[in-house]
Amino acid sequence: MSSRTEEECSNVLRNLDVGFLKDNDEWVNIVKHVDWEHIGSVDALIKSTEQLVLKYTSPNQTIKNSIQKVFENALARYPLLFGYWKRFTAVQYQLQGLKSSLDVLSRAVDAFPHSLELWCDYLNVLIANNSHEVDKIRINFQIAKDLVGYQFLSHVFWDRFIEFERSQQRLDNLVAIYKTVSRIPLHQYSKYYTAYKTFAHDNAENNELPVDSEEEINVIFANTQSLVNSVWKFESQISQGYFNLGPLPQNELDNWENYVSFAVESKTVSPKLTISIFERCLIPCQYYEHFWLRYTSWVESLDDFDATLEIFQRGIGVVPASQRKLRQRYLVFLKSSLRVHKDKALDTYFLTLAEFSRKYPHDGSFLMDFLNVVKQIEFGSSLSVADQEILKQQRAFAGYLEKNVRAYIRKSKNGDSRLQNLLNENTLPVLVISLLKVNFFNLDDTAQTRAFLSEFEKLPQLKSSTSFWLLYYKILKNTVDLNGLESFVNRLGNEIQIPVLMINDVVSDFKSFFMTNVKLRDYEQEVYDGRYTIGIDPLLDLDFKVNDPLWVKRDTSKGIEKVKKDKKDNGHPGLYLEKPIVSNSIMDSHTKRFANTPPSLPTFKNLEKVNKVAVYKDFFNTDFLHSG
Amino acid sequence: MDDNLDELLDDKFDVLSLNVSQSPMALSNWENLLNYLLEKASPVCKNINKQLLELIRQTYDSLFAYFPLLENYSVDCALLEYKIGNVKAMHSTFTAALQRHNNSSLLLWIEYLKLCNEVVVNKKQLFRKYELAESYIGLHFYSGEFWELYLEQIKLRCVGRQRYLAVLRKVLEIPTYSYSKFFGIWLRAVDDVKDVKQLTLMAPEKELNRKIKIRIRGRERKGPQLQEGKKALRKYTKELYMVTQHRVLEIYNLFESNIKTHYYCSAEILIEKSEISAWWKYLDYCDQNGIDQLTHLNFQRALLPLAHYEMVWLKFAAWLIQDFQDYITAKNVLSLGLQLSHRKSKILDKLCGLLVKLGKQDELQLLFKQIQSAFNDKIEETDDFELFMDYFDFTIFVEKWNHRNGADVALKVLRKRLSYGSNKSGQEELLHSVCQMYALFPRKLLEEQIFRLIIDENWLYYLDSAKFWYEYCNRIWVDRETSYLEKRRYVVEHIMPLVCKRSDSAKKGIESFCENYMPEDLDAWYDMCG
Repeated sequence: MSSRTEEECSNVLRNLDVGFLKDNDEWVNIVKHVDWEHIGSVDALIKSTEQLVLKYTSPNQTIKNSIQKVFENALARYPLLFGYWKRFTAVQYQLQGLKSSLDVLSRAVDAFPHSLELWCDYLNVLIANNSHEVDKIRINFQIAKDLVGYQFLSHVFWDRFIEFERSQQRLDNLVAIYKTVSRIPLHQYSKYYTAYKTFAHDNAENNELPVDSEEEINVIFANTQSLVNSVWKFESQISQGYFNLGPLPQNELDNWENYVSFAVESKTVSPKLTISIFERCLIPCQYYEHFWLRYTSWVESLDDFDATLEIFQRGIGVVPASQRKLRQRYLVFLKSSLRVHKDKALDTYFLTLAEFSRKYPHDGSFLMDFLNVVKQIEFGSSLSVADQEILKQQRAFAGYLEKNVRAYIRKSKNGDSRLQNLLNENTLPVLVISLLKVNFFNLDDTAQTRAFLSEFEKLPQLKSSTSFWLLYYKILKNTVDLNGLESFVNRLGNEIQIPVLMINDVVSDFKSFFMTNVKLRDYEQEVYDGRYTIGIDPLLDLDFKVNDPLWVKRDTSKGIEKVKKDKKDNGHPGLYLEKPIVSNSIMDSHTKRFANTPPSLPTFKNLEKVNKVAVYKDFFNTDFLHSG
Repeated sequence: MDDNLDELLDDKFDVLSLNVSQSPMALSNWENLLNYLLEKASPVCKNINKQLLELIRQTYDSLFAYFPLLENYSVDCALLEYKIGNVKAMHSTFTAALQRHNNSSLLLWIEYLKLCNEVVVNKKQLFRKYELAESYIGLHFYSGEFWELYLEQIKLRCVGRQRYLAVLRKVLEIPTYSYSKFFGIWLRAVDDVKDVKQLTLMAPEKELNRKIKIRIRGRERKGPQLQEGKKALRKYTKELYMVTQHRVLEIYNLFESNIKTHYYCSAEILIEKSEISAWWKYLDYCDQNGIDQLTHLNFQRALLPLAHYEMVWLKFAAWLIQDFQDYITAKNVLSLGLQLSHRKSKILDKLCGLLVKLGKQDELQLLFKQIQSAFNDKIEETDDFELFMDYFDFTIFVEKWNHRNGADVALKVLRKRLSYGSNKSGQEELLHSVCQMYALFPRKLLEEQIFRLIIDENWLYYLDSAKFWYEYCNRIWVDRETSYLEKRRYVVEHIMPLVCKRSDSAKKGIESFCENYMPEDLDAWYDMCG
């Protein structure tokens, strides 16, 4: 059970007396063992909680709180389950009265603003019980209009809106409504065609009202009709327009995909209608990153920074952490926005980097992005400024990096907190690499770079950092340090633990580098001097290291020892056997040797093991599973 | 007087010999030709037509030049000489055939020794051959037949039992397929012992005394001692049997049972993967488990079925180099491998390395010439990138040997290769490799001769590629002769303007480079791109 679930469970059961818990042990059991990933389990929880409301007609405050908590927990996780909002409203009405239930509905439309049902319920309750608050009701109608008014089946909402304004006798508002609704492709668009025509006819003489002429109305509705025909082929295919747990059928996904493609590409579809289609799509498809990606890229094309930001943030809040594309796109969006909306975007960018860095602690790219932006903004050195100034900034940046590396290693507080937030054992190499690059390439300080290399290579965090060792190798090559390179290659796989594929690449690259940068006569001299008798010969020995990182050049004088060590393993790693052997074997002696004296009597070792089963050494368990 | 060869041979000979000359690598052509000639020569006897005989000999020689590992044909050739009574030629044919197999062919040895048993009268001479064979193929898993022949000859030609028993005693320890047969012989020999003195033929007297408490020269009663001695010998034999059996079963179950092909197969016949992998494991097992002589023999055995697979040649050479630093043998192995293996680039690479190491520049030059001519002097046109790259690296290395200006030659080949663009693989790797040849291609030379050339020639394959521009910027960036500011200015002022109007993928190269090395110029880059 996750810590969140545990906390929720204890919140629900807190302060409930023992008698109540005993009487309702089944409910308690459901609360304790609810599986939030399965709708059946969640539904059982809600149902059994509703039973409590029926069972206790006037429960005490603690029980009321518990019941409330159950609904709140469910809706905090899944705010798009509108049915639960409705049931919560009914329960709250019974437990706490009208005002509380109205509050719940108000919260419901905030949490799930694109729910037609919830808005209709909310507006109905408002009109029925707060009819004197005309302005409040009208404002809510206006808000709902943009959020749900463009939905294909929103005629219920429009009917209520028209009825409300008619009851208020606000003809100006009615005109505005008819003008809007007449252009929206609704399931019952023809109803409004007749109503608008009647309204226009009835008010034809009122010159203050900007009513369209009959011909204009005809044209508008002809367009709407054609739009309805276009969207009908998608709307008619939607069988699950609501949110549910579990995957959506493929035909539904395909239909939404075609629908949003149509909305984005068609010139007859207004941006508001496109937004409505996307928002409706993202109710059943909330967990599908693909639709968020489509939505954000469409909104980005509208060049509305705030709207794009909002949609990205909503998407990132719901898309599972395992899906990274939307998050990557968000970072790209923020980064590109830095040039135009630096004030707005910078803080969000840094905060997002910190958040992602916490979420994906193995990914160093966030730190790299951070360093690049910091270098651009805080240590900027345009080529137009004086050379001295540029170099000064480079030195300052190197100092900044070094200070932060040391602050992290020493766990001191004097580093940049923004940067320190992004640092962990996995991302430290990124910072060290930046420091090395600045020193070596920008400040041209080879001595300092070497000092850093020898200092930092000892850090445990860098032992298996591929990028650190590749930079190390690159620097050695760049300075054509052959001794260093040979020692580097020798250490690969033993002291330097990077993936075998990388080792293979380095090894073959070094061979090519050696042959094209070393003079042949120097090589011949080294061969003559016996250097490669013990050390790795770059021309002949490097291939042995390919796919065998632990390979070390065999000292032929110690060869026998190796043979003995390996003898127990029959080419079957894990199977070890003390084999019976003839310890004074004459197998490799020539028979001529025994011309005068016959061979000795055989002596044996491990003879008793002849019939023993081989011992299986389970390296997977000993070295891998229990290595920690 | 022999008939004229023209009268003996008909039109079919013309067709068959033409086939062979047109496709010398097709073994079936050779087979057809040989069968035809042998049919014409049959029945083979001393009166064979001399011209025809010479023709058959030359055909065999040519066949072995193309297919040096054909054991059966070597035997046939030697038998032909034997049948016509040319014993000297039979010896030399077998000797030559054995040399082609580094004396490690069990089949050749057995066939040879069988004939030697017939024709070599001198005991010493014959046993010298057996001893030589023992040192080469004595540990072969299927060497039972050889040992039987050896023991039989000792029995026939030697008076005493000492030699016979010494050889038999050695065979008991060798894990061979027919190991139990020799134990049977040995046990019978033990049973046949009639006197304690004879026990000294089977074990040293000192050990009989110390371990079995038998005093050969003592005054004790011999009867009980003999029984005691035979009993002890049987016990030792039983224990030895257990050990040998254990080893035989291990080798057989793990490896030998999976190996079905024991002979050379022509190029078009593929060997099953399971068999190749069995050999691979077997060779590793031999390497790690023991006797170098046996490992060497098994490598030679593996060469026969796997001759067209590079792995066996490389593994053999690696073993020789790693365990013995025996570069000469490794070179010879690889030379043959180069001739027979389907894939050659890795063998070639290793062989070139060996030739350089051994200082055999003449052989290396000759090898290069052969490769060049195999590619019609246009090696840059090969589709095998590895082969080209190795050739390129080694050419540069060896050009320096001759104190010639290698850069010009290399640049010429390089430009040609790069000009093929997408038609050849590995262009990016090649460019990367060239960029780090700091000693040979200084920045200026490389820029003028390669990067600017590609830009001027408008080779879009590179100009639309992120890697090309990244590589270009990187080459500028790592240049130790230029200061940081100069390099930065150069990238911004001279390279960026070349890319800003190009495709998005090209721009990605610059963007990625800036993010890695000069983020402060990203704004300038975006401004340039508009």
